[in-house]
Amino acid sequence: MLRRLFILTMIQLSSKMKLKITNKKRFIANLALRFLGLVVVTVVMIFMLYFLSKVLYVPINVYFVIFVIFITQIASIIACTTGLMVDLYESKDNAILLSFPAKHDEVFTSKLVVFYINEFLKNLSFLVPMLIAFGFISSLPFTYYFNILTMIFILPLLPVLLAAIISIPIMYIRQFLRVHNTLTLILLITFGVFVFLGLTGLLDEIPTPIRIVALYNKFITSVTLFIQSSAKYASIYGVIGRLLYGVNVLANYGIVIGVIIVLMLMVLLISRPLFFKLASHTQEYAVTKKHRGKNKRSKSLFWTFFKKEFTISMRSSNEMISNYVLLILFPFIVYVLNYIYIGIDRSTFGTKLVIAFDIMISLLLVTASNTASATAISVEGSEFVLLKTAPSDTKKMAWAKVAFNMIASSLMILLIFILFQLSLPQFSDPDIWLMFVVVILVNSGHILWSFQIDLLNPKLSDYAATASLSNNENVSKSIIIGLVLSIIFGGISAFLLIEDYVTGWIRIILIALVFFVVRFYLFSNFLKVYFREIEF
Amino acid sequence: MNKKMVVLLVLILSALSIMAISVWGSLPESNNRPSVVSITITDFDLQNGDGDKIKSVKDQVSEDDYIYKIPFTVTPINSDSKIKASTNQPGITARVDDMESVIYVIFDIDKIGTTVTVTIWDKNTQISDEVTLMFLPPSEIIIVDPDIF
Amino acid sequence: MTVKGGEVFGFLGHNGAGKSTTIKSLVGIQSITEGSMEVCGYNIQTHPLEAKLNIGYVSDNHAVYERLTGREYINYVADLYMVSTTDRDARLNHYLERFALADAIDNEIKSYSHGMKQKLVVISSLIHDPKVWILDEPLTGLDPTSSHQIKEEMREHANRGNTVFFSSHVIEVVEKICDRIAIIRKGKLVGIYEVAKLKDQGLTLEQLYLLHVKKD
Repeated sequence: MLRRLFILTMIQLSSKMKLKITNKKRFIANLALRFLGLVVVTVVMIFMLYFLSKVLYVPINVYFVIFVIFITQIASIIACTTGLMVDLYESKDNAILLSFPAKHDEVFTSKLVVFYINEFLKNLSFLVPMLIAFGFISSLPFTYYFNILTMIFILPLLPVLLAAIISIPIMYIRQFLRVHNTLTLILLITFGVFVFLGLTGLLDEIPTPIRIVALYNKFITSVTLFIQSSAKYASIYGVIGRLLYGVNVLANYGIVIGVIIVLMLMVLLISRPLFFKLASHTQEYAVTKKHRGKNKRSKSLFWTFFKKEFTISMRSSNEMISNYVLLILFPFIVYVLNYIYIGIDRSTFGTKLVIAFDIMISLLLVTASNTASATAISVEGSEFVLLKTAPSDTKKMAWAKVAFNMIASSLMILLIFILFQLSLPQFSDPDIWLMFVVVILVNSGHILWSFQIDLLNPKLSDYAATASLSNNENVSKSIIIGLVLSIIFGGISAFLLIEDYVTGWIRIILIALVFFVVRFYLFSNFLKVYFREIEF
Repeated sequence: MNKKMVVLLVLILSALSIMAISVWGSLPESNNRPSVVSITITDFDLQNGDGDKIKSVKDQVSEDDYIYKIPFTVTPINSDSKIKASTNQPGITARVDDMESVIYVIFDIDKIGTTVTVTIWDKNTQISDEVTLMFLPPSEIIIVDPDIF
Repeated sequence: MTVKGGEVFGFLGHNGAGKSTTIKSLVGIQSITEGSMEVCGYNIQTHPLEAKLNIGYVSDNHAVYERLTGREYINYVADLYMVSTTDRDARLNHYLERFALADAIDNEIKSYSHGMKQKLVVISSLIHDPKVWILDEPLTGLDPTSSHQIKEEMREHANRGNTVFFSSHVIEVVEKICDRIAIIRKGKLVGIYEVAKLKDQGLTLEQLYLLHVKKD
């Protein structure tokens, strides 16, 4: 059994982590390099902790350590849960592993072992250097480092075992929500509203007029208190922190080992028996959505393409959220920022700076959401063949996509600015709507520019092969151009508004309009020439 | 360059913008605020002959509850104050929240049980007050009377 | 090389011989570096729209928009080929019955099996009743029933006076359904043969093909 477990684990590790010892010398050199890296990270952590302690006066004590362990382990639990959900029950390699001459329980255990090793290595690269640095700063005795050595092996067990247990109910909830899209949307909106209300509650605590130095001190004090008091709620991680520090060592070791045994029993009795049943239940036909329709000829080819874009977007909520996540964050960021700006006793110069920064940050967020345009042609993948073989002016597909992206983006921006106006009545209405005009014009120009990038260098084959847009260079280019545009327009706005407020606004809008017209002209010409040259 | 980096950039830019507006775009603070006249710690159990304030924290500070709050008052209310606090023990930290007029005293796990004197002062006028926190019930706190001998 | 109406023409060759390249040039996906290609009298380079209007193409990778339903996908393709509502209604109903896809046509393509997706692509390539039907490895990975249905349709489409141009490297299938075949080797056309005449000569297609291969 151990031998099979070892083989199953090594197969998965060699595939996931490219773990292969081809050359002994190279392997040793690699190990030495990693060790050196660890030393460097530890030294950096020592400086960081020194800065926190001596400059920001944040107490570096056992509660701080408990907080760091707690936060990193929460992140690990979340990562392990989402990872295990896929790896245990939806992974394509199940078809291979489960067909091997090994028991299902062994396959299950091997997957947990792989995750454990992954967590172990992750802890080695961040948490362990942090703990060593803490020991150095606090001049702790040798027993502390001995305890770290044991914790290196014990700590990764907790997120993996917890994830193995909680991934099951979460999986069922996820499946349920996938089928009931309306409920998912309602939950998301409710969550958004709660976050917004929470933010407004937090911001209401800030007394106005805002004095930044006092606010900064209050912020540092609040953060310090938060870190220090979190140890009360850290449960098992509070025990681990105290154990490391040498407080009630034996009793705390007993508690930790006891918890691990309980978790292991739960995994053995609940997760392991359910594994095969859940892994072998195909999800392929789990969601068969019927959308009744009629055969109907479209009024125009543009409308055909637009309808297709709209239909696919509405049914791909994950991709939509991924594309527009920054636009979803936009209202929260803008609200918090402008609440603080308004709270500061500003001079006229300060008000103009506020507008310039608002334009810059707004543009940064909206342009980074135009990744759909930067991959508009690439996502056609193999289906681009249809556009090449059809006896129609299929360039209209590009205009349909541009129109769809512009409408979706602009509607969201409009909604955000309406919220902005309603939630911050102290902000001047003309300023808000003039900013809106600038943002819409520049964003629309950026959409055209992003599309043009993809037009000139589409990644059709990459997408067709992988169905993935990660590491897509067109997306990076689009985001960088957006960043440059936001800095330029932010700078121009500041300069022109400071010169003269009224004519400044007129000139800013004119410049934005010219930018949009130029991008439109360039895009339409490039489309005419290069669309037909695209080959799959 | 990806969206995560954009979020990071937005956070950095936001922080920089707040600093820029505070430094270059804000109205100067009025110098009409009066200086601090007194700082007083009101929460104590007894005072010795020298006026040292002593507070018993035996029932209030423990391994599970290691942050102790000391309220203080500053007169006049709208004074131009820069309040700082410190302790005479390493491993016990004092942090001031001058908006709430509270000092938070944080005891490290191995310092619970250690007597500590917390001092609070105004950086501008050097006016100060202090209180000693002891882990004894109030009845056991012995005040040495210099007149006995 | 000329392919006439009313015949099923097979295009046979080893992997990398140039079958897909030829087909892709014919349907307008790739540019032609040398020579010319005409479909129903229209040069694919000078009159691409007219030529493409007569072509129905089934590609070798069967990719479709998975978030659309089968019906939405067919309507999308029908719009591209300017098929009237009446015609698409009649043809779609006919093919749905023929390929037994009626129950799934309003489901998202994501839920389709490989065979169902391929049948959907076949229907979409026939929705405008093309005079020239070009299929590139259409039977790969299909179950016997689906495979039979497509082969039957190929025969019937040719019997209606249309051209069926069919590429494959599976000799048995080509031999069974094609009227004529062309063998391509290393980018060069090495011979065009009538399948019936081969049979009369007592030569199987496999023997003929291996003969050409051995010439290397």
